[in-house]
Amino acid sequence: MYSGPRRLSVPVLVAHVAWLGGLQAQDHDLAERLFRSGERAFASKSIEEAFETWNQLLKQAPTSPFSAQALLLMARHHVDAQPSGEQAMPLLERLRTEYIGLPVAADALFLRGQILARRARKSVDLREAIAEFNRVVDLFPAHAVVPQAHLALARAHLLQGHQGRALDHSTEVLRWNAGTPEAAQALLLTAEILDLAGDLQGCLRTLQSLRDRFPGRPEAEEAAWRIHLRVRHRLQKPPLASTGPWPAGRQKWLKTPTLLAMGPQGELHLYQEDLDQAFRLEDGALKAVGGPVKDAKALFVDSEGKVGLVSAKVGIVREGRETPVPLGALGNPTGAAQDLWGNLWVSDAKAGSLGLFLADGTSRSLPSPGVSALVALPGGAMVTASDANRTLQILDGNGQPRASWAYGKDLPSGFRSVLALATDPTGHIAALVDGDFEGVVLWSPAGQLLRQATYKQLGISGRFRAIALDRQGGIILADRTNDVLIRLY
Amino acid sequence: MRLHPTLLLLALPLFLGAQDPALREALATGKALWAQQGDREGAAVRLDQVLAALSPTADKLSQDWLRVLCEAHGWMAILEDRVPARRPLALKHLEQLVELDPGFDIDRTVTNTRLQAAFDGLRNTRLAKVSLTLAPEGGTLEMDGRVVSAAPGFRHLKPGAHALTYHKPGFRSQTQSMELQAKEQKTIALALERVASTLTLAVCPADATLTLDGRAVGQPSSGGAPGESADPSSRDYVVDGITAGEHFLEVSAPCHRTRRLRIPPEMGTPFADHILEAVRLEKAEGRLTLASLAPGGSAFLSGRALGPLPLKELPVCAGRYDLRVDYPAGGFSQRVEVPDGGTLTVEARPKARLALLGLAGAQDFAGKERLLTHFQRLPELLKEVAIVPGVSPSEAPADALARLRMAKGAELLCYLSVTSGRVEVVLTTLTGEESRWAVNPLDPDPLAGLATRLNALPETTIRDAGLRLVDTPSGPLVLEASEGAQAAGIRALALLTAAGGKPVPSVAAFRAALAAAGPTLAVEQEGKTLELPVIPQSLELPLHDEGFAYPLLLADFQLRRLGTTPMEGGILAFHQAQVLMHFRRFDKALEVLRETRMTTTEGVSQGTLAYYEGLCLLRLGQVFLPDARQAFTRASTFPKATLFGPDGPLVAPLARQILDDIKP
Repeated sequence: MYSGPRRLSVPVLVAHVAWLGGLQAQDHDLAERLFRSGERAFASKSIEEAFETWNQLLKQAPTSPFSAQALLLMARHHVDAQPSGEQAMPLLERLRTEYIGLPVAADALFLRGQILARRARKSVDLREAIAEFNRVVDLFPAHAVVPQAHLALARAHLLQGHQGRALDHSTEVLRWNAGTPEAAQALLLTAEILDLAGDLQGCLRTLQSLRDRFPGRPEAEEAAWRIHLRVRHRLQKPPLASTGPWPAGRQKWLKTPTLLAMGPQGELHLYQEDLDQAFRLEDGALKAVGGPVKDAKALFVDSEGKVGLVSAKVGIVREGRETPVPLGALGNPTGAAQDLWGNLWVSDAKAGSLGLFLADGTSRSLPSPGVSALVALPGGAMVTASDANRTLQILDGNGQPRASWAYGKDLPSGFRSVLALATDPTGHIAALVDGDFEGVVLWSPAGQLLRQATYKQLGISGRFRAIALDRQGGIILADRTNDVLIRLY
Repeated sequence: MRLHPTLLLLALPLFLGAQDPALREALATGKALWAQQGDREGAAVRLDQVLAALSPTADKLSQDWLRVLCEAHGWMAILEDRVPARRPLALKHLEQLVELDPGFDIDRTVTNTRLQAAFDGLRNTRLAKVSLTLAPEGGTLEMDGRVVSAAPGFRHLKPGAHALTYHKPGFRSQTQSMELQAKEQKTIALALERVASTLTLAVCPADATLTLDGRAVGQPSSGGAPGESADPSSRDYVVDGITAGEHFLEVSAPCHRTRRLRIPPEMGTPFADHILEAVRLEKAEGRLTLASLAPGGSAFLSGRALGPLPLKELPVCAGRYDLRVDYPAGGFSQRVEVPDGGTLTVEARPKARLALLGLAGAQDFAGKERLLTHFQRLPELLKEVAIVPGVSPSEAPADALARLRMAKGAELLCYLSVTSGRVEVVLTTLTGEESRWAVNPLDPDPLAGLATRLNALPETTIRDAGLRLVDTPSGPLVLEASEGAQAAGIRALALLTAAGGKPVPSVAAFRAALAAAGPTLAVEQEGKTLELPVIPQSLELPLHDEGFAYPLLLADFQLRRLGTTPMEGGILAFHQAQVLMHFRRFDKALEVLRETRMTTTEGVSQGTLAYYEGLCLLRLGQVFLPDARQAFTRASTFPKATLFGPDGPLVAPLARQILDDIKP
């Protein structure tokens, strides 16, 4: 007999709800216990045991916030072991789709953005990473990872050439809380963006602010030499003068130095033609790096401090890599520089293009008149000198000209050729030039003439074939005839 | 119908309670009626009233009232003895009298010899007789814990155990226990040993307190009563314990200047009782000046109303007080000390009123009780808020919120909340801007972080001499100089060599000299000494500093704006808008920014406001892009406006960059 819909009496309903509540509490307890157990195993380096426990947690309590935390910890572990993030990505994807309502999703989105940014090989590849960082900022505006996301956005936009957006995000980090470690990095970044945007005073004020607020941090140390370089080269601009053989007055200690390059930490590298070998100068002593390369015409140091040499006969030889990369059609290499994406640019005086050897092993060429010297600017741009066109040119990351100026502009007399180029981390460009004006010229990152001197004015003579800029405001010249380095200040 | 007077008198005991003063009158009237008029009936009625009122509580009566009861029994015995048929009743009264107070003696002038003999017979058979000798005289005698007459001679005592204690200032107290039998006769001698000298002195005012060598001492003299000395407001104190050596006696009283008397060693030995001259304390007064920029304040000094602010040179007793100022919104409280003969000036400002509400809900968790104890102690730790009194910790936060919102009785609420086993402390404004912090109830001091945040207010200005400096290997280089600094002779791109009279090898050294400087700072550049004005420059607020409680900042900036000048009000309003941005209340922040005007155009100034207006509009969505463009365009017209502080990046290029980014 049908007796109508069943209605639970109030006491039964209350008991049922209480039972359900108790069950949820039990689930919560179990999830927490499994998570903590995995955490203990993880802390004691029993990674396999930790992952097993956390996978059990994911099966037993998939909706628990502890499951989300476990996923994030596993993803982080994978990223530490494998920065490209192949194994971490599926876990982060799951966090993004299944746990987006939890604060831990902000960390997952940020980590995902970092992996995507790391995978990018050109500026447009950063779009996905930028989208992920923007999600962090938009969805979790008060989360602790937001300043890091803004910092990552600032860097990504800068790489894309969007200085305005980069500045917007770097100032957001400072606005969040100017006392955090991210703020120290943001101040450094803000200063560089301001300089790129033409606000040198703002750049210097910001760098000083970094020194004032974070006196003990490495960023403050970096700010100190960045201030000094800019003040000396761009504000004080004293006449260049030779301080003589360097280091410490050493004479005839080299064997035909022909190439110079600075490493990422400011360490000088040089190539000695008679020895067919590249060296790193460490505490006043030379240390051979890489194998011998005959007749190298270009020396470069990548972002990890690894040395590379370019020779018409051998090709591109990199420290730590056994097989040289053939130069192909480039028969007269004159310069080489690695960009921010790990691509190597090689110039050729006689070819009508620049060779671009990509990080993925492929290569292509960029149309360009014969380039007699090539060097990388911080921020991803390249400086080329073309004797054929008698023009210095700044190319953006895509090889598009951003600025150019004629040889000899603003100098008392012109020059005919550029023998070597150098830059420093603040974007100053130095050149060894030959012609009516025979000597050293220093330009600002925008191509404005800053300082210059002929060898005669400097009171030095020799066959200077290479140039480098140090972090103390000095200019180092390599004299292949006298086998010495000369420092100008 | 007329009531017979006797009936009225019979009903009287119903209206007289025990120890009612009217009973003494009834006793006196009864005695007079018998002695003067021979009205036995009238006398008996009144004495019966006394007996009926006091007898039920006889064992709890004071010595005075016991005496009244005994006297009533004695007189009743005399009255009953006059009627032969009632003589047994007279005997009963005597028996009760002996039982009540063995030491009481009947009035033998009005008692016949037969009754006296009966009374003496009763005492001799039922009581013990003790002969007491006390040396020295004039001390205080206690029998079984009650003070009794210390007159020497015989006294009757009930059989049983008794303890006699005799003490006198300057002497070591002595106690003797004894077990007495009925009819027993005993002799007791209590001789006290002298152990110290005493001082007797009158003090004025009467409520002064005395300390001997830092220890509270002094008791009213047993011999001297108020009014006996020349000054009616003083009374005698006996200070005991003047032992060998030098002592210091301090006499202090509220609103009077404390006096410290040296007691020379010769007063300590040999032991003696000394009488000192009366000590009169001089009045100790100071003046209190109370100022406030905010209108509508009323002051209270330790609960006493002083009236509306401002108060100038108000005479008050010197000493410590709890000062409170009530404002229409916000409150102010401070422990103050008014100096004797000096003036204390306090500048009050309304601080946010905080209501501490306890735990929301009835959840249980480990460490709950100790966390609640710490929570209740919070008021002792907080300096930047005024605690709202009278909020019950048991009141539900939702109820309290509704009540306080209606009454506008607080600016901030703080309570504890438990969600999924996580304990949080919640701080919220009445308009719902809230911050939450997880707390561990088992931490040694679980609310220390909260107290620190609630005491932290950000710096809103920085001292500035108009110089933008950078460190170089040769020393601090002047990068830029304000118009004021240029007018003082400062040259850009030259080194500073000294500041505040000391060499400055770095910008940090210059900042230290600036921090220590007065309204001007002497600097040295290219061999010349130049005087630079030091002026405060505005700073921005960090939007997410964990060290601050943003609901408190919001309330505080709102209150600080009351009564300020447009210049000060402008920067406070800007900070208020920034706190609203912290809470992502961009529409409210925009309202505040649009109402705000800053009088300066350098540093954090009017251009900065326009920039922030643009930022708020950008956050509010695409529909506000045209308005945002206008705001950034305005910001770009202030070439010297900066972000964050005087050393921060220029607003104009930043605004132009954003304009580039958002151009249609």
